[in-house]
Amino acid sequence: MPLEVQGTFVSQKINKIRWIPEEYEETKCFFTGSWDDEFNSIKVWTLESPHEDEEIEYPRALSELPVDGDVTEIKFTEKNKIVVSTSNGDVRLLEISAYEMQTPLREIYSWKKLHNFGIDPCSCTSLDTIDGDIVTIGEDGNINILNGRRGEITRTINGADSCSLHSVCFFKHSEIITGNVRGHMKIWDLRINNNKPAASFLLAGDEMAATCILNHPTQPHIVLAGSESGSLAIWDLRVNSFPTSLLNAHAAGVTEMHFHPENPQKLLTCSVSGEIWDWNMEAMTKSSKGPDNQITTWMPLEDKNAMMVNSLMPTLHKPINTLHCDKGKIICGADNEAVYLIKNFKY
Amino acid sequence: MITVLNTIDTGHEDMIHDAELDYYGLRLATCSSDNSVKIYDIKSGTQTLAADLKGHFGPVWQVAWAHPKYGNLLASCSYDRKVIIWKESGEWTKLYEYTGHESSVNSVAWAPAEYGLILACCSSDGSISIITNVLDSGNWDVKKITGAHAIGVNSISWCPAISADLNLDPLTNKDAPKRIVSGGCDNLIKIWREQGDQWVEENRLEMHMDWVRDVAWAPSLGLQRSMIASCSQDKRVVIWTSDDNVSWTPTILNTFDDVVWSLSWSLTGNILAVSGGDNKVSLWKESPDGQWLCISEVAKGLGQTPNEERSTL
Amino acid sequence: MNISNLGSNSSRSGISESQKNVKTFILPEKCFERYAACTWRRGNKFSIYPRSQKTSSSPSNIDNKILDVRQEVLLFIPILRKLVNESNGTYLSLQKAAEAAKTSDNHVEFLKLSRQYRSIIRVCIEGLQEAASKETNGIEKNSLLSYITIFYSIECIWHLCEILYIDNIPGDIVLPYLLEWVRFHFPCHEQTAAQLLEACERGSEDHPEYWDTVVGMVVQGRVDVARALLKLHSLTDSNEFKLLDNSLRSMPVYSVYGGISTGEFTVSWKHWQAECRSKLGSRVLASQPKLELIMKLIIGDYSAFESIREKYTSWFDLLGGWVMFTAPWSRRHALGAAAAACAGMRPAAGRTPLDAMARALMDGDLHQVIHEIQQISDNGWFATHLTDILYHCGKLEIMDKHQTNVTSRLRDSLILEYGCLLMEHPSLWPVGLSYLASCPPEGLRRAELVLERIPVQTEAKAMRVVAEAKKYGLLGVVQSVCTCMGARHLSSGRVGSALAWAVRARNSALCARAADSALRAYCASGVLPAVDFLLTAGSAMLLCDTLLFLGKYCDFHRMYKNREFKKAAKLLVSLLTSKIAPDYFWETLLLDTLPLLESDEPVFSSDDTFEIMLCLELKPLSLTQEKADLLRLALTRNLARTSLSDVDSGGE
Repeated sequence: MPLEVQGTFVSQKINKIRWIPEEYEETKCFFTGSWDDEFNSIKVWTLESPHEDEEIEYPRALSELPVDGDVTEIKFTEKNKIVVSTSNGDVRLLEISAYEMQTPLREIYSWKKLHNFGIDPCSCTSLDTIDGDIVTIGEDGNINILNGRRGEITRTINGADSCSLHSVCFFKHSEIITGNVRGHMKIWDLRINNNKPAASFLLAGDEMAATCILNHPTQPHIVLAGSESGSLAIWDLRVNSFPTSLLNAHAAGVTEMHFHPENPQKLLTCSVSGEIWDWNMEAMTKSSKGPDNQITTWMPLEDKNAMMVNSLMPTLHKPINTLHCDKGKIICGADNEAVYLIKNFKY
Repeated sequence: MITVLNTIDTGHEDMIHDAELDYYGLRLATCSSDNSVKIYDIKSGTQTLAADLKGHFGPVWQVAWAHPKYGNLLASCSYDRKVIIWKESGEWTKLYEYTGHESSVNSVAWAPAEYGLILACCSSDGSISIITNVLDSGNWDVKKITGAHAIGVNSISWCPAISADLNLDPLTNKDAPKRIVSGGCDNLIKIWREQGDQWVEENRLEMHMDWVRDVAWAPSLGLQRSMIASCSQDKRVVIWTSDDNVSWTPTILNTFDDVVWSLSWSLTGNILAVSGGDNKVSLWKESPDGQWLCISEVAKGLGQTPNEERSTL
Repeated sequence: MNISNLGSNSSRSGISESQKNVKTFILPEKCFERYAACTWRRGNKFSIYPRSQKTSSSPSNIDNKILDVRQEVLLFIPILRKLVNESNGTYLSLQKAAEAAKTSDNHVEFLKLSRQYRSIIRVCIEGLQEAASKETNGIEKNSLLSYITIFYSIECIWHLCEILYIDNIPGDIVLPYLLEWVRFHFPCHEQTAAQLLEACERGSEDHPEYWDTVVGMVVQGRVDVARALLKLHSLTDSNEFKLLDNSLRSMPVYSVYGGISTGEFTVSWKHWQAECRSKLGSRVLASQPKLELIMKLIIGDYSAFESIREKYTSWFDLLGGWVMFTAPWSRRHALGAAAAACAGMRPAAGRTPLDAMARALMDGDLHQVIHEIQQISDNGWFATHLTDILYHCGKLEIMDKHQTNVTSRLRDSLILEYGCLLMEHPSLWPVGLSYLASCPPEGLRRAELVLERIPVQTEAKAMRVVAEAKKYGLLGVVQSVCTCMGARHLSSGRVGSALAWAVRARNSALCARAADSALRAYCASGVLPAVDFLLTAGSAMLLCDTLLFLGKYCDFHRMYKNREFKKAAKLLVSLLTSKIAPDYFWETLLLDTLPLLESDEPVFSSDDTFEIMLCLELKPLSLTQEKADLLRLALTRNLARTSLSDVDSGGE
């Protein structure tokens, strides 16, 4: 079946979108977090057909939780718990009822002004989770490690960066990687208490921000970063401290990346230039197997060919900020105040 | 339809003489006969008093916000013959005080940010001062135009600098000289141009028959046309247009029932707000065929509740 | 000075004319005692404050209130934001299509986009209907219903415009399209007809709306349906019914592709109508007045149409039938007369805005059409988008009173207004920007003014504003936004972020200020800020001397920590002799030489030592006497050490 794209206008710019996982049936509910408006909120949506005889499903809002500032990240700590960061510096852990999706989200923990410039507000720009642990970063250049089960701040690295941090990734249980407004990447080993990075390197040296970081689900030493310039960098942390491959990918900033949960050879990216792409990583890795059959280098720059990348949707006139996939269904949220559902994606 | 979003109780103990919104429209500065300058945060419908600046010893006539690329700076001028530049870093403090006038300072205006941090002010002593922040030393360098208008200068306004990327001649030339327009008690409007390290009178516009109260150079919209609005105690508002900044053509916008005190161009320069002794603010717009039309009027009520209107937009 | 064209007469008349349209807003009485003045915010927001020109003699108890005023914008309600966003996509596609149309005919594309606009309006109306059905608050419900009315009219006029000006109608014969338009927007009796036909019972005339339905079908040009309905009358086998049915059946229908010319068709049609007329004249239908009425209608009898006008809410319902039975071969330009005839059927009926728009449209007076649609309270959405598409289709030619073509000026001014309106919305600003960008140069200049002033609370927002500005080549905005971000970080003492943004802005003055503040912070606290930035700044350091100095000084610290003393010493000397060190930093630099002078191995060559001595003597005031003496001693000792075996000045 061909890809099927269906857009719905929702009257708010969507900055984050996440499927709510279902165990026994097809996923049909999702979260959105809005940004860049006077009032922002986290909404829970369900897909349903307005008329029984119709095939097409449209999203309908089930609940809405107003937030102060922009929603900057939504990630799961457990199946029915999300941690949300906002641009006023707050971080909240919220629970959705597994049975009654329309019940308002319940706040379990909240860390008010976790990131701050003293009395001035400071954005908590992003966060990542691993097994109930949460790492948050902010424009204050600080890193906080939170325990999502007990609601504690377990560790704070003050002044981890003298510039603002914009992306973070837990690539191992005790190791994180952060990226700042200039594309300066730092690796932190949380077992060591000296508040100094274990390693650091530059994304591209073009003074552009690292907007998102992702590690390979099956090869945790492989790390990808998306840049504000639209390029995509790939590192093998065992070998190099500079990108083994830097691809000129999107026409403007990469906003979010995910490996398909069912197939790590599929990478999905979206961008400020309004593009949403799926990448065939297999082609990238195969071309670069070293003599000992170990992946030593990834795709060199020049070898980027069009075959590896598919566009999932005609280019939008406005940025696509976020995407999330569940099996053959991809949802994405954009600055044209719409969400798009892409069905029949082959993974 | 228009709505009153918010009412700000200024708490000034005497007449207000000026109110100016900052670059982003998030803060309002007011000044009053009670010698104070107040700053309010007016984000999303609520207002909080952010600062109450005391430093003048006379009624404060006007305030002006500098471009935020120079930080948060506010200039104020007063009857006490002083101009004060206030700076916010944590809290508001006096950055510089200018005392070069011999009489009341009536108006202050920051130059377009492209030129640097430059402030012009004018006084009842008939002179205009141009105060420039010298980048390396942080000192202030003063140039003075003495005898600009006999009896006194009431108002000044800068010619917008036009950004270099819209490469249109001749107004868009980045190296176009700095210009200031002033209005005074000699019923004249004068245009001053910087030439070398001097300011010279380039043009005098004669039209008004009484004191010129306010002059306002319209923001440039990339068209090859400059526009200045002037108002006077002769109850008239005149729009001056020029396509070379040298020869100017007047059009009488309207003759009002009372003295016209102040003029204000909207950001994109297409609406002129006129206010005066008739206790009304009227909004004027030029139609595509070049006629000036009054599009709406805001007037003092006669016992209505805040949201009532006589008609809807 | 030219004062000849002051034209006080013309401007006066302009004013008096304009005075009619002035809207007066009354503000609460107590908000100001005397004079009022205005200060602008972005967009259509301003504040009104009590402005006094003079000082009062005695400070009275004045109510010094400032009013924040804004124009209420209908399009900003959530349901209509969907329309704003979705139509923006179509608008941008249209601009691309228009670009392509410069080289090839892109007519089909324009028609497709026009339909897209209409379907967007449809969706919007459905959304409003759904909301209205759920709304329980009476006032809210009423406003939703009034919005529905507005968008119904918009859809109706757009459709008519599409038929008359955007579509290429074969042979310019508008009738089939006109009938379609009438049926779509003014459906009447359709349900009854369907019910009757489905029931299919003889004696349907007992249904109270039977005859209205039959007549309705005739005036909508649905002759087949009318005939089918007549077959359900109990007297359908009577001669009268057969006679009328025969007339209806034999009515010639024109088709462009029918193979006959308009002339031939006209002849046969006139012949048919003459036959009908003679049947009517023979009064064979006299016993069946309803049938007689139908017969009169199909011969285009004005009084017959007049007689049924009462039954319809508007004359639009009759327009299709009137054209069909008077001049089915009508071309577009003939519609004006037909519309006038239909509108005149009930002169007492008030003229609605919709009437005025439709009449102007059929008269071909697009200037008037646009003038009329500008009066709709939709914040200019319709006027802007319709004018734009008509302009691109080349169908708009508007002359001012001096006969100069002002079409593109009119289009631009509408788009600029609409774009500026959206730019003031906290979320819709990029939509507004895309409109402004489509009308250079003025649009871009306005965009620049507004974009720079968009409040930027976070870096994410700043990056987005910068990305948008870059997209349209507004490099001045890029610099300005980055500089403001940097200035804000700097005034809060965040040197690293201030430098990062100053570098983005390529602003050397701000770089210098930030670097200066870092050096002063080091002098005060002994901790060098933003080391991670400085060690990776690369070529960005070259933006200004102070930053370069700071970067090199930071590098000196790194070398020292790594115990690369000789390299560190070399760098320190070059910093001392570079002449870019700020005066206040001399003390630090000179004292930094001390530990190196006293290292076990000499690290400064004799030449270097001389340089440091020279510096010390040139800047006698930078050190206290005590410190200076200490340094002189260390220097002399080093000189003694190196005079025997000098340090390799080539470094390591």
